[in-house]
Amino acid sequence: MNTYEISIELGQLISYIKDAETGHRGYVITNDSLYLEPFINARKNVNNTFQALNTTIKSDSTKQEQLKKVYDLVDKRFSYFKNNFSSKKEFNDDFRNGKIIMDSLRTEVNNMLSTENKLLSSKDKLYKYNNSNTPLIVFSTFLISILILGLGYTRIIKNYNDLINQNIRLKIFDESSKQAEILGKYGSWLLNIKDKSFSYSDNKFRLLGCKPQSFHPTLENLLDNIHPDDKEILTDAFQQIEEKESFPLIRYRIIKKDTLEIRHFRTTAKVFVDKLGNKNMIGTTQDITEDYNKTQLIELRNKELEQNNKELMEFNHVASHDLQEPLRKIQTFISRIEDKEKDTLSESAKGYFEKIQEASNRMRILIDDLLQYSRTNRSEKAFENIDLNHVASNAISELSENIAEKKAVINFEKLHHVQGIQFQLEQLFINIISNSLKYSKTDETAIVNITSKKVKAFKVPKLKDDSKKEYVKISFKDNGLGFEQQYAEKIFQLFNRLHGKKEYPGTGVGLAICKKIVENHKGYIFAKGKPNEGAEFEIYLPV
Amino acid sequence: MQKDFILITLADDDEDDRMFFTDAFEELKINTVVNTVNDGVALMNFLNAAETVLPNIIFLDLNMPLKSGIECLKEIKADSKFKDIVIAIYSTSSSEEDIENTFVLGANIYIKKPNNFGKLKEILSEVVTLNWQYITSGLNKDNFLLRM
Repeated sequence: MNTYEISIELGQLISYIKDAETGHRGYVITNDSLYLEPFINARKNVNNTFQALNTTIKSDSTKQEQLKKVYDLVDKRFSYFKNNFSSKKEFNDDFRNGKIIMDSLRTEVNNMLSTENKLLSSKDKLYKYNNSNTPLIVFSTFLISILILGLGYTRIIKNYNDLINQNIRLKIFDESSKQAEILGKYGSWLLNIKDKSFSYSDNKFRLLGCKPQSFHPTLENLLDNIHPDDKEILTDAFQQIEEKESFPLIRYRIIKKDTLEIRHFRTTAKVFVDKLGNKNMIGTTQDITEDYNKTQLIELRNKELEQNNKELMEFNHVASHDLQEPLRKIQTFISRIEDKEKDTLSESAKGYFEKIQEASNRMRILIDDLLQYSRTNRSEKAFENIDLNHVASNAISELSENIAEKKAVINFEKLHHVQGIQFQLEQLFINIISNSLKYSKTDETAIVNITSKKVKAFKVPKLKDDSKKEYVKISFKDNGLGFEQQYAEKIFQLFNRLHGKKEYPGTGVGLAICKKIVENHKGYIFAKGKPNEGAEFEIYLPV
Repeated sequence: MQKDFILITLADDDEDDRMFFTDAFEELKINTVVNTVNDGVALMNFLNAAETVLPNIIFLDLNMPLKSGIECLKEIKADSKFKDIVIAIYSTSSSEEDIENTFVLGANIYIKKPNNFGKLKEILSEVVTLNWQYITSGLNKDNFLLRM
């Protein structure tokens, strides 16, 4: 700060004036011009000092005023330095006046010095204050630095640990994906779109029948193992990377390098831009030979099935139309002969004629039953909520003639509802009831009791279903002829009969149809019988 | 059209069936004029011929060579000049599919060929004497298939 400069300059100023005074006095006393030299120098030096001071305090107007006073006083003081005095009195007066001015000059300079000193002391105070704060500031700066350093360190350690963990996870992932590739029979590959660098995973090599990383994959040797007929598929797909930066799902065959076996591959890929801005194509190639073969087999089986179905439909048509047609004609002709010519026939011809009639009637029944059986197969109708009471009463009214003829009693009350196909369930009831009517005892009123209750699957061991699925159990119990329990399953087989045609006419289709209907409904049917005591049919249908 | 006669046309490729049909009408002694054609193409030619007096009832077999009964039914129903003709399907088959199809296509009644000549006469007499104007106004699927 300029406080020190001002003080020094002011001190010098006083000292220069003293030099001037001393020089002047020496000259006055000795009249030797040698003493004038310091006096002349002092004048010069004083001027220099003023100039220096003036520049130093240029910006401060109060100090400038003070300096002006000092300057005036100095000027005045110099005016008393004379070389020759006319009288002793003049000399004395000048001497005294010079001293007075010198005193006031000193006072003025001291004033200035004290102002500067005040300024200095206040600055000093500030400095001291600042100085006393410095250790604190230094210390806290140090503390903060340590803290930042510490935080940074923990952060770095944490990141480092994270990195290690991530690395471990990456290793695990890498290992598991290697295993997955082997198990899943797939391999992966990476193609840098820009520099065309290409790499395969280990398993990709194995799939091709090569040792892992045994050659360097390039776009050129890509086609080496591909089946000649499928090379184009690959070329087209890789062309697409070039053009659209995409890759289609492709299927192709390869020839394994080691076993020369043809395998079916499936490949898909996707563009992936990494953090460094590299555009890569990440691809997965899978060996789908097993799936392919299975699909082929399924397709073959499906075709066979379709063929079988078609044949069955054709048979159905043959049975329903072509087979019926000649039979219908035979029967129509029979009816015409019966109407017109019966009386002219001989007795034996009449007997044969009746046999023809019977046989053709039986054939008609067989064809009708067979048709009904094959139609039961077609269950394209949607399942509805069916009231079994409704089904039972419809079946009874359908059989009313038969029931009346046998004077039978059919009982049912409060049956449940099931999910099913109305007309099929009616057929089921009709077939079972008419079966009971057919095998009823002649000396006893035929009674059929129909009941139903809900049961859980696991409570009925013979269903072989441990679930809690709910079924409606419908029971038809009669007091008829019954049957030996050993035939309980046989009676549901197509064309199977326990009695001769003569005693009990029938085709052996009725109960087979019942079984089919129940199976259509995902249910179960069982028969229980005791000769001469009666039969019971149990049907379980899903609720 | 002769007022007292009911004009009947049968389209059926089976010779025996045509014989049963004409014999039955002969024995029925209803005032009918019956003519028969051997297949669908012959039927449409007959119906479209300028000199033909259109029949009142066509009995239509479904399974015929060249042009099936279903095709004939479609053509007949598509032409307004045939709108007054009653179409009776006359078939061996009684499959749900055939019944459904012909009903939807606008046939008036479905007859399953019987296997007894007496029954045939009954059915034909029933169909011919039905008051068709009354029946066709209240057509429904329940009485579409003739049951006797």
